[in-house]
Amino acid sequence: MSDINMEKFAVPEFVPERYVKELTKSCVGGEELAQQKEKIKNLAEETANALKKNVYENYMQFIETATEISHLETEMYKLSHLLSDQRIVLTTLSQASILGNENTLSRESLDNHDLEGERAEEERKNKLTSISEKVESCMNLLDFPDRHLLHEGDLLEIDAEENTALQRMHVYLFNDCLMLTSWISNRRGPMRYKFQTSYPISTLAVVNVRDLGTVKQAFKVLAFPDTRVFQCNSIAIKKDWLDKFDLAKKMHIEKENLKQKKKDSMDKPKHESLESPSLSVEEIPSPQMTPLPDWVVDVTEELDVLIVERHFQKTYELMMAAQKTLNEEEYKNHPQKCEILKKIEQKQKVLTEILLKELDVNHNWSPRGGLRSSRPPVIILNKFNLTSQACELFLDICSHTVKAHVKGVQLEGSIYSYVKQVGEVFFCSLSDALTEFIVLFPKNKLSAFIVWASMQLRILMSQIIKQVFTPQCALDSVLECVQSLREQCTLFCEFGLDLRFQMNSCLRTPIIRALKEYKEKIIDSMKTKITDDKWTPVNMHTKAGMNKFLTQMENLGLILVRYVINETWVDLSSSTIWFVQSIITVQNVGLKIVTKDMMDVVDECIYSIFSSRLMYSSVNDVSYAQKNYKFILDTVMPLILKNYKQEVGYENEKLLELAKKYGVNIAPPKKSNITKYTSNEYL
Amino acid sequence: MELNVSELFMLRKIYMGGMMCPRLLAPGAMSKKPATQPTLHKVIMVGSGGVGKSALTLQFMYDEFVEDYEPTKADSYRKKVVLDGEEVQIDILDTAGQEDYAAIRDNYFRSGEGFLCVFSITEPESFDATQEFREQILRVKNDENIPFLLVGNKSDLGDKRRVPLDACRERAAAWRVPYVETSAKTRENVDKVFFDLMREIRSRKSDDSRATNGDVKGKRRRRMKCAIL
Repeated sequence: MSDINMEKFAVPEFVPERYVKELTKSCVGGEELAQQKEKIKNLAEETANALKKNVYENYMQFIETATEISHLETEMYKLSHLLSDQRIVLTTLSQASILGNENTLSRESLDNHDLEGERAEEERKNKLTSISEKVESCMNLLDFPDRHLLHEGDLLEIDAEENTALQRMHVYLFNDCLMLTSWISNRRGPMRYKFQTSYPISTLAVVNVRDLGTVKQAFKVLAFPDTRVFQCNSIAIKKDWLDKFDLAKKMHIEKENLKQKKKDSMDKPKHESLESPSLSVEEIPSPQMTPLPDWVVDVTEELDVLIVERHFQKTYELMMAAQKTLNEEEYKNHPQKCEILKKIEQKQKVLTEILLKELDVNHNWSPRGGLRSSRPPVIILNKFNLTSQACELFLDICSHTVKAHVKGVQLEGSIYSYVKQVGEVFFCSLSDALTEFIVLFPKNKLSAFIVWASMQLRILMSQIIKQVFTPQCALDSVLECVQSLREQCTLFCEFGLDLRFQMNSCLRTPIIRALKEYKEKIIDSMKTKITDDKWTPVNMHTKAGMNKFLTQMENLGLILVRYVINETWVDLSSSTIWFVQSIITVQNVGLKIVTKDMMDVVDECIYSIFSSRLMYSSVNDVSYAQKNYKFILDTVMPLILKNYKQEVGYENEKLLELAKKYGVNIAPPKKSNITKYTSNEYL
Repeated sequence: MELNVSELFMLRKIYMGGMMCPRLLAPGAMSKKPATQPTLHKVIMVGSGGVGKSALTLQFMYDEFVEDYEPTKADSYRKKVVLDGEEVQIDILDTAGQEDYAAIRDNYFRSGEGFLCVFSITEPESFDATQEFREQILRVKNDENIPFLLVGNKSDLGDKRRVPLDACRERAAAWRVPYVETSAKTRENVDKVFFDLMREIRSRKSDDSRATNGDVKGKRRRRMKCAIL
């Protein structure tokens, strides 16, 4: 009999029929077969479960990844947006420089020219886009602002060595390059051709093939190291192609010449300006003047480049170096000094503006880079004595990150786990911000951080309070939340910033309100509870129910074993039990949730609840009610008083007075209580 | 299951052929091609405008002399000839003398294996220009020993000769290349210049193939010499 395990099924060449055959062969009798079947079934179930588990696991990962991807996508979108913006700026810049040379044109003709130019430009762009839509993996045709199509058509490529047909091509001739595309044989969608290669016009040589044996109407394109031969359908088409190539080449040469001329003319004035002063009168007053180093003369251009390339640190360094050099003794009287210094100052302004923008949360700022990404701009701004602005912006960024992080926490499960998580996230981001802040800013800015932090705390607390202090939220879960927040806050003290006071001051009002509301709720319902009470022992129905009840009460500090009758009955009325639970909860929670300055609120709560209960009891004369009343006075009252003292260290004077008024004999706590009521706490 | 390279090549061709528009195909192009094409030698005609590059080419190709002059842009011709008993193909690229942009000429020169540098013996300017062509070719090919012939054309116009024979020979010697005088009109030496150049190309190619087939040392030695030169 063979074992049944996964490995057998997992092999790729597993054939179920064969497996079953083998199995039946090796098994003796139906019973064994049934066993095998059972085993296989189990295995299948296990696998299914494992699969499910895996799927769930992967699913969570998948969701996380998906959100991450969507984040990235938006980032990419932003980036591409930025890039296209830049491109527009660049094209407008290049156009501007061209127009700058034609200043002699009258304004009107310029406008006209512009309009026509725009239309032509539009057409050109449309044409190129339509081409890129037809050609698979096409190069970016719109890269060059003045690219336009000169000619296109189908050609047959011939093997240059062997004169045999190779493939059908669709060829595009632009003014600056030749693009070869092959036909897609089984095309789907709008793509008709597949991009093969492109050659810049400047590296192309076109040869008219006069004689190539059997191949007629061909021309050759030499683009080292490739030689490509194309055959046309007719002489006219070939002539067209050759003419268009000629045109492209001529345009190219003209452009090159123009460039060359421009360069020459640009060089010329420079030469003149450099030479003429040395020949003119100026030579006489400052014969000993040292010329400025080249890099200082060109510093403004260099700064521009660095700013555009976003090397902010380098920009700053260059600026400082240039200023330092210019302020040296030997250039004191240099005529260009003032001018260059002024220019540097302008650049500095530009740079600070960019940096400030960089830090501005409202301006394309992305939380993904984290706080660290804001480091370089802040450092440079600090050096420019703009610490305050930088600090302000930096803290804005911090607020943003804190907000984003807190927002990231989802309200799932209990309110407690949510508050706990929020607290953790909040204080973590706060500590991140603090460490970064200490690195970036001088000590005297710390006050700004403290103000900021307490403000953040206030914002957070106002949010949490809205969610926690609601009528639906039980008093003890409110306590849990408050305690976890306090804990986090205490932990944060380790970073050297104690925000506990701020936190407590935020919590004060809602806590008082919550306690008071709770008190009122109890007093309100007390009357109905007491009048509705039948004044009989309460039946817990089962032993388990009884045990549950007993542990519940024990957690509150009351041992009620003495009051159990017939295993399932409690020798107390329902309203009494309810009262005991309420009053002990109020005291327990109240004492933990308040700070010392709110003790009177807790005292007041306990007192009012107790006294209202006692007032109702004194008018009721059913004997069982009197028994319960006695229980409250003799058992509950001392317990409450004792717990209170245990918790805060002194007596609850108000309640003590009440007890005396009702004639409760408060024995020295230790003796009477331990003999009568034991609780885990006191042992 | 394995296909050798030539079979693959055939397959590719058949496949490509299947996609082609039949109208575009020249008659016979798709018929079974000979197993191997004869060796191809690529010759480039260079020289100033009007010195007779095209006339020489046409005389060589078709045995005819074209009297009227029309500036060439860039034409190519191919012909099967028998070189010392072996069938070869010659590919002639007839370039434009008046190409006004020298940089574009580079692209033509790169494809050549041998050069016929033509001037007219009646035109000293064209002789002067050969210097520039020579330099450009050496720069583009980066090879001092590129097959190269200096050709003085229009030898039939001996009475109008303005470039002395000695000057021509001197220059050829300085370049260490053969000098030949031709007449496209009378066909004098026309075949000779093409065949001489093809021989040079052929011997150059066999040198190279020997070098790549193991005789690396010899090639390196030659290279070394070039570098010293």
